[in-house]
Amino acid sequence: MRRTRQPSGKSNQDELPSGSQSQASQNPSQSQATSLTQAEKAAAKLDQKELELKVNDLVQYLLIMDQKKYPIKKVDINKVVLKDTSNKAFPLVMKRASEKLADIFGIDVIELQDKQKGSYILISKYEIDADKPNVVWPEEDNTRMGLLMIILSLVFMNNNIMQDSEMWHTLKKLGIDPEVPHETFGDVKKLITTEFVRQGYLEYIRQPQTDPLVYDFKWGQRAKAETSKRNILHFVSQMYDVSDPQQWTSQWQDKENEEEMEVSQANSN
Amino acid sequence: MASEETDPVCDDEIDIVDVEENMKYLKPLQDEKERREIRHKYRTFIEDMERDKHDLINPESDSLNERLKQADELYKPVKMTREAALDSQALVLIANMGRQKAQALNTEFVKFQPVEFVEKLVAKTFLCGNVLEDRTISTEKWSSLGKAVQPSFKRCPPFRFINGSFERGEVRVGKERVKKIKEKDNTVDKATVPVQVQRVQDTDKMEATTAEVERIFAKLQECYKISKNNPLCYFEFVTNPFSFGQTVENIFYVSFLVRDGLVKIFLDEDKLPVIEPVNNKETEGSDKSEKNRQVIVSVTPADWKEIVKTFGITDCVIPNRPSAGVAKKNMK
Repeated sequence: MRRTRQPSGKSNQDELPSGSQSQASQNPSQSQATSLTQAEKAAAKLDQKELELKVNDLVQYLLIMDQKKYPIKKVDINKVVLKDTSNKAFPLVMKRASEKLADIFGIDVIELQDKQKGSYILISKYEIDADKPNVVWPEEDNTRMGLLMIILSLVFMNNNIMQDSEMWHTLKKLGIDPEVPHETFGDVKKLITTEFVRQGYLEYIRQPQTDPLVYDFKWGQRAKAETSKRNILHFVSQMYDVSDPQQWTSQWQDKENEEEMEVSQANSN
Repeated sequence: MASEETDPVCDDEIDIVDVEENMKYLKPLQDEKERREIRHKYRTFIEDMERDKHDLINPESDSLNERLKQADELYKPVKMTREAALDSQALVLIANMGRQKAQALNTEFVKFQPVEFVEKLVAKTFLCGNVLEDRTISTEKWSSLGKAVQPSFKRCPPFRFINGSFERGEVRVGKERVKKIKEKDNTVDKATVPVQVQRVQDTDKMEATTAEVERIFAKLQECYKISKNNPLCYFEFVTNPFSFGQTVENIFYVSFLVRDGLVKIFLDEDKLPVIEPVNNKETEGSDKSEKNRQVIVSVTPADWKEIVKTFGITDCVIPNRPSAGVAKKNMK
């Protein structure tokens, strides 16, 4: 639905929802995220060298900020990398930086949604071959991944949500107690409810209107990006000596649904 | 005109009839006592629900449905907003419990039991078939589980620089640094325990010097033996062709030896200074006169270079010491 009344030649009018009746505003884009074309305009004001510098700066910034695995905020990027440059150039600079990361480092930049919208995480493009692992991780990392894997498995197999009381009850069987400092993990409760949540591996949601407070565990956005239900189902099946993961009917269905969605998304892109 | 009747609040002149009309809306439709009773019933209802939560969530039981019917009954006498609000609170609670009940519902043929899963996990990965008496899982076991699991994640390794801030120079430089830091510690201690540390510092310095001096004396005697008890050329002995600083230090230490009468320096037939360890028994008498002679020796870097060139000194007789001065000279 083209609006011929728009005086400015901006092509982002296509992105406005067709149901909206706004005609008067000269700059509709300001109410929404700046589109790529407008950013390109802003970026054209920068000379190419400066733009290149900013893109490289952003690549470095992303790589370094990723060390702790906390999502990188757009606000910070604007403050640190773009600085004097117009914030409108952000989409273009980010797009170029993502391309560089993909080509040179094999890293995808993924924007988080919902609560963590406006922040970015780095994910490797390629899965590591289990038979020939080419990356050696530090011990702390390995121990955390072990614990995380178990938690993600529990949540997934429990229909993608698990109450905290049940989680703690189950983890106790592994010698993990939220009240007791753990030999390997230290303050386990903090690790699971704060650190993993902050990194985006888990979601720790409060159940509304309960007394005493009750929380639910769910997969976080990073977990969804880094691994898949198929992997987890495979892992769980290994534990049960089950050669056919299909016997977990609903979880298998769940995984199938997720894979279908991924395929259709990939096709539409 | 019409607006006066429909929007009486805005009017400046408030008609008495209109006021009574309005009061009709504000006056409670119900007896206060009745309302209190209803509210009380609702509150009890909500408390009971929370208390029995676990039973209500259990998919096996139908009690949630009954509660819903109860809530319906309670709502019948409700006429005012306050009680209605309590009713909606109760309904929200029922709805939440309904959700949890639905989640707990299991249509699996093979049901997932979290505890069972964990026990199998423990048996397989942590115990590896062996029975552990001590049920704690060590860090190593966690680590190996994690390692096995890493390929399931598409994790991007964190970016680290390969070379940290490194300094040029050999290991020697590191040792010097350590020494320097230790000295710094000493000065810090000085603030807190002044008397003690001062003493330690003095003796330390003395010991260091004395140790050096003794070492040089031993070296001299060794060289003297090698040269078949002939006096050694002074310059050849003290000069360190690699370091001016060390040369000066050598001269310094040798002067101690002279002061203590262990060594004597004199000019030979070529008027070049030579050095010789003193045998106390033989030359006790002449020592006194020798000791009293004081000479101030000055040597500049230029002189030092001259000496090295003239005497063709290629290697130091007195071994090189790892001291602060060396690295700097080398860097320059």
